[in-house]
Amino acid sequence: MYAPLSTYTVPVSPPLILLDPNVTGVAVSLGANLSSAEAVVIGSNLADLVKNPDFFSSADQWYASPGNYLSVYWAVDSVGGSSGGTAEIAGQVPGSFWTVTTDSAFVWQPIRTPPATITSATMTVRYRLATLTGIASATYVFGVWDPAGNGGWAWYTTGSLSTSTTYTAQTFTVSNITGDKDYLVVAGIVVSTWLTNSNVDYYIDYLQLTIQTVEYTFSNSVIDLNVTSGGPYYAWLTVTGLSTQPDLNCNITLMNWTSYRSEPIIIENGSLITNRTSEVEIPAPPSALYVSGTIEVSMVKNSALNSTINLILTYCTLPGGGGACVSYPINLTLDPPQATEQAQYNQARTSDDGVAVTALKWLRIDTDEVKPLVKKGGG
Amino acid sequence: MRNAKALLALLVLSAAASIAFASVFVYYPVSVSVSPVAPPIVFAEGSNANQPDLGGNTITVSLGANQTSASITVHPTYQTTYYKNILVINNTDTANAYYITIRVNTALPADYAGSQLIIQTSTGSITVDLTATGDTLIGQIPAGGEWTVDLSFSIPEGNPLPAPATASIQLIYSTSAETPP
Repeated sequence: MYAPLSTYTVPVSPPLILLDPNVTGVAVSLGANLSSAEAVVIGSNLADLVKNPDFFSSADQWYASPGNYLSVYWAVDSVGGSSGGTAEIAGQVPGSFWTVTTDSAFVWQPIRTPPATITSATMTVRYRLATLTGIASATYVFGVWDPAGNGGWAWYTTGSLSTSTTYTAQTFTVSNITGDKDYLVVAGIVVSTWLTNSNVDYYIDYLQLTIQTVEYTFSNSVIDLNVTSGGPYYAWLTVTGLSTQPDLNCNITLMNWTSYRSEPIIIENGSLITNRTSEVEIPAPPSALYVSGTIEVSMVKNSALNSTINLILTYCTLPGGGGACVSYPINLTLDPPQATEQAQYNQARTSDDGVAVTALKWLRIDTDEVKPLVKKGGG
Repeated sequence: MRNAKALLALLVLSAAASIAFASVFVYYPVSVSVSPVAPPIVFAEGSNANQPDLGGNTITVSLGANQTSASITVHPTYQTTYYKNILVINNTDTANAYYITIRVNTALPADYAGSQLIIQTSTGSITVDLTATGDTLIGQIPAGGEWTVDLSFSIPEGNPLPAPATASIQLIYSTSAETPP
């Protein structure tokens, strides 16, 4: 008995593509159809932890915590000479004869410190208050929020703001952060006004948190993921091969644009402890200002010896490996720098300017609802 | 008189010919009783049939009215795309096992190299190369047994996407392990 069966195959362009996150210390080589990648990760004893620190072409990795009256946008500041895009906080805080009205708004980004001994940390920022009208005062806020438990500031600094047509660059010494821990870096403004309405327009052009460690470290994105059609997809990473040095400690995770992070692949002392991540939903990005997700590496190693890790990124159209499932090869080389490169890297850094920290314990960062920044003027 | 003789000769000749060409037909009774039965081997939709496919498409699985034919449409992409459990082969006969052979009549073009149809039997998986014609004996599906069908496609990165293509296949089942004609 003969039963006919036919399969009609209609190939489609990759609905999920791999991208270079353009992170300092990572050299990415992408396949011709963005469905494979190789990344060389340069460890350093100075590690930048903030992704997309300059908002240059997008708000990717940043989230908004708007106020009652102040909104948060991604925008290009055409006046002050910003480097590409900025995070803009703008709005009108209403005045009242009877009371002082205070409002605040922030941008924030989740970061993870590498599993290393942090000897010092600095936060470098660039900002400009373009507009402040009425009988009002404005204060900048930069800080590191510890989301553990009920949350609280691990470190913060504030200072009085005056309107300016140019950007102010500052570097602060950051204290009280430890290795192998999740934090949020935060930047924002607090505005108080009395009697008259106050129009506010504040730009943040750059924010980077840099840590110095005894060991060679890295903790940042190595490959970005973007859904270009269909979705959401359900993805995980699996180790298919590795050649590691015995001093390598490394976590590899998948994170989507809502900052939901997978359980990690874990390598301890060069040995593979966990060979795959948990599954993460990778949705289409909320706008062109974001990508759908990212692969993060957090590593520490003492010696200048290379390790290689071969991964497969699998994504499916249904949770739990259902529907159609696609596999992309991704190879990572974890490569500490040569001594001369490290010296040049260190020399390029600036030092603390000694701005004082003032009390801000009442101010809380609400991360319950993840809000992307929107492009000012739409589009 | 001369004409009468000729006529007589023709009559004699035609009478002789009619005797020489006569046949004898003998009829023995043979009865063929045709009693159609429900097909013992049928297709059914797998757990991933008609579920989301890549790029907002659907993994389309259409079955014939009597579940004795099936057509599948899928949308793979670069690298390896795997479709698990999109079709089920059911032996509805709870008394007899059947030998199953997969015959690829029309293969996929060479730029689909590595594309496979995979039958998950109760004892393991058997793969059928969809880019080559020919028969593959899968094995004996037990009485009341159920096998699932997966598809796997490999499209190498760096080449243009292959044109859409159809593989025409037959599932052949028999009570004997004889090579099907």
